[in-house]
Amino acid sequence: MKKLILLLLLGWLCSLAFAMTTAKSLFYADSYMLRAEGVEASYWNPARLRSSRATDLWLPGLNSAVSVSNNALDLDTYNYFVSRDTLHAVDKEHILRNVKGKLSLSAESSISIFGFTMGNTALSSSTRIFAKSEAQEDILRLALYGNTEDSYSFNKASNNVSATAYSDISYGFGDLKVPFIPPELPEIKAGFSVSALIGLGDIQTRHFTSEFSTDPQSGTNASLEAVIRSSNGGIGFKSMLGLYSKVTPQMELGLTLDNIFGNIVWLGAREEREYQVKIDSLFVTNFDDDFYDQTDETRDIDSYSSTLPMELRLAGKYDLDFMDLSADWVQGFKESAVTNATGRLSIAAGLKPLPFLPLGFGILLPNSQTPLKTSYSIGISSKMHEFAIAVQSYNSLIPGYKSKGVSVGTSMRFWF
Amino acid sequence: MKYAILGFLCLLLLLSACEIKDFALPVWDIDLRIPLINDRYYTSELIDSLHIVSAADSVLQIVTTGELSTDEIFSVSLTPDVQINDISIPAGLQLNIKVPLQDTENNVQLSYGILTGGGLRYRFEDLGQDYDSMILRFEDIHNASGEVLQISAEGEQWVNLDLSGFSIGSYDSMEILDSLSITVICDSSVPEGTPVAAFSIDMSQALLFGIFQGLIVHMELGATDPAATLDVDYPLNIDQAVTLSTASIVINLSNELGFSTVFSGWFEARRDDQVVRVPILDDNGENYRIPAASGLNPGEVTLRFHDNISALMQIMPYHIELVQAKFVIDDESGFGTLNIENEIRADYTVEAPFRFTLHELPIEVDSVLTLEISEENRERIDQNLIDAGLEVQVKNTIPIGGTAYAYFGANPDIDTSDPASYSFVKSVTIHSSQSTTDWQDVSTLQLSRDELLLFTAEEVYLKWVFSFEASEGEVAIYARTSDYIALKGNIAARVRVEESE
Repeated sequence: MKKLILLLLLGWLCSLAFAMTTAKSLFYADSYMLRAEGVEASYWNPARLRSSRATDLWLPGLNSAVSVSNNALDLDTYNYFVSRDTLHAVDKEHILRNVKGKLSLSAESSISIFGFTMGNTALSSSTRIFAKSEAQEDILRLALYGNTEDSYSFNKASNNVSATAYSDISYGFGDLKVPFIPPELPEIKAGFSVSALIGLGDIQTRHFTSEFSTDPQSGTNASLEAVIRSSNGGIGFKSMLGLYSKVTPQMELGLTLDNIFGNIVWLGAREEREYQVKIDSLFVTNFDDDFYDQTDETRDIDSYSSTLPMELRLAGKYDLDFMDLSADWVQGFKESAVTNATGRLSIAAGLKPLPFLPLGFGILLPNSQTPLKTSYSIGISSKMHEFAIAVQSYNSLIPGYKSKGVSVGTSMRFWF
Repeated sequence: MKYAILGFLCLLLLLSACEIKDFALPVWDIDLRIPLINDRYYTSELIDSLHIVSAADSVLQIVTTGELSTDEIFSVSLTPDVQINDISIPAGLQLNIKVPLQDTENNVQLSYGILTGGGLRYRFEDLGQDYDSMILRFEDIHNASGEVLQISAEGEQWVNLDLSGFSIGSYDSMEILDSLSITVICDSSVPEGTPVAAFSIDMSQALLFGIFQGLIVHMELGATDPAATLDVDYPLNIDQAVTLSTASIVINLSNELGFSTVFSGWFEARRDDQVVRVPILDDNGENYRIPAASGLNPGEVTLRFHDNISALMQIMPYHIELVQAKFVIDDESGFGTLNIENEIRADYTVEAPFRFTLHELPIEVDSVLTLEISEENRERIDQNLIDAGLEVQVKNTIPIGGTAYAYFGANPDIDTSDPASYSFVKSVTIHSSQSTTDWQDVSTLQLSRDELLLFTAEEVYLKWVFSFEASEGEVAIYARTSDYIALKGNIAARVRVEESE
């Protein structure tokens, strides 16, 4: 049992090592389209790449973010767990109370490699990693209570692991005036970016079913079938179109369509591992060393693709004298490791109480797929640089005992 | 700058205000249910087709078989005890003489026989020079080639003649040979009828026949010793609680002798100092007569002993023996043939059907089992096992019920009457089908934490005591598909999960 728990924690920690989110976007809880400038505009809305801006420079690793979260356990629960000498039934229920069907762990990361702008163009590279694992609540119940039920059933929907990592080399081109706009209407700028994707690794649960039952009539019966697909190299492409308009001196609007033709073809070391275990009518009285049948087959497979579904983002930003407010609506078209089909809304505020002290606050409103996220950021800036850090809390307004996840990010930019 | 640092510090304070406790795995208990067994144990599985078989009525029965045979027959003896002296032999005449051939004990009358021993003596006397040849022909005695025994006068001393290999009489003539014919032929140049010599013959030796035809008045053939024995080893001293109701012995006799024989003897059953003997007699109280062989076909008979054997089994004997067994050829056997290679064989079968009465009497197994607990398991029990038990149901369709008591102790000197000599006792009761044929819950096999701690020792000792549920009269165990004991159940254990050291 201890090994199981250590394994879970290890998995969590491993996820932490790869856990990333989009770097500076977490400063404002993803309400960032109309805040991204310079190199970042290439990823958020290339229409905002402006010729008038100074050259922006990314240095390796300094614009990075990492996040790790789960759907059920917060720090309070963790402290509760580790501070108990003995877990009684009420303690077990305390731990399980928020595990609604399954325990999900996810991690995400974004690491800058390099980037710079030249006028209304940008060239940059970054690495993104997504990792996710899910385990059915029954597994926790088995660990805490034992096999109190006669049978258990597990499927892929609640039990899976997946991870994808890729790097991009992106070129953005913006500040293009959209023609044929009536003069009485505000100017609309357009831009686009294209990204060559280099797949670093991919692992997906393709199939998972498991049954486990015990009863004195038929004994212990168990089966597990899992198919894991993996590859360690691929190439791909994606592009983004963006529109931007400053409709009033205070009001900006933007629209992007990301992941156009988004696709990664996995070509390197492709294999599919099929693992099966079966136990039939096992009783203590007929137990021997060969009580189970196991097959573990690894086979080479053809190349396969990971589609990056398109995602629509709408954003608005309003500048007040002392602060600015923004709101982003994101609507994915398909569920994937990097997109959600359920729309989400985030709002953010940025202010500079002092000329060199940027502060930020953002909130991502929860939906059925995404938890509440709140971000806090602080930095120092001058005419040539800006350094900021941010922290993001999951399921809690303030990072603390009730947080079910946390993200941290740094931003260091130079322009000249 | 200082404001930024202040704000930054405020944020750090906000974060650092959260106490993240060091990881420490608490302990908790989980309940495990592990299927133990789901099996039917049919009484028919006891059948091994050798010692336990199913009788015609499907009742199980213990069967033990054996053989006995008669002791070696060395010979049939006939002692004529005849001496004839100084018989004058005349010249030129053929003299016929009859020598009596009668057993001095009047026990046998010979019709035909081949000798394996014995002989005769003869002597010629007063031999002159006046004869050319002098021959005695024993007309009834032939050598192995069928030639008549002839002897010639070659001196005056007594001559011993070994008759081994010679035959007397004619095979299958069916006539009793009460005398031997001797013909004397003397060729001589002296006037016919003139005595030229005399001779004497002595047949006082016993004639021993390997093959004999004729009549035998009395001849006893002993059986191999021990004639027929059966040692009964009752497992677990079960004889203390069981009284067998019936038993039988079947003896198939095969008689190669050409004489019918009378079979006599005793069955003897012993249990310690108790001895019960019953004679082997037929329903009329007479000895059994075994028919004679006919030609090459042995005489066969099957003897069944039932009621008397049941009387033997009532004492639950440790040893059953056929004693003083013998086969007797008597004057009622009539004319017959006997070859010393003939024997009488008996294949016997002891059958004890599973029909018995059970008594509620504890059966204590003498030996104490030693359970060796591995170090790994000792640690698991010590650290992780809170309690354990069996959730077992039993379905019993046979009319035997009982209670098994398991006495566990830390030392091997377990005295079931002295609670100080053992740690605890657990019992399981299974009622017989006379009480119920439904599933019975066996829920008493529960071990508490304190009891489980006994198993943290390297060795644990176990002594079994069984007690049958007294039956309502005689019960029978059948080998039908509907006769079985079914067991199903789980091991239920509460296991403590904790960080191992």
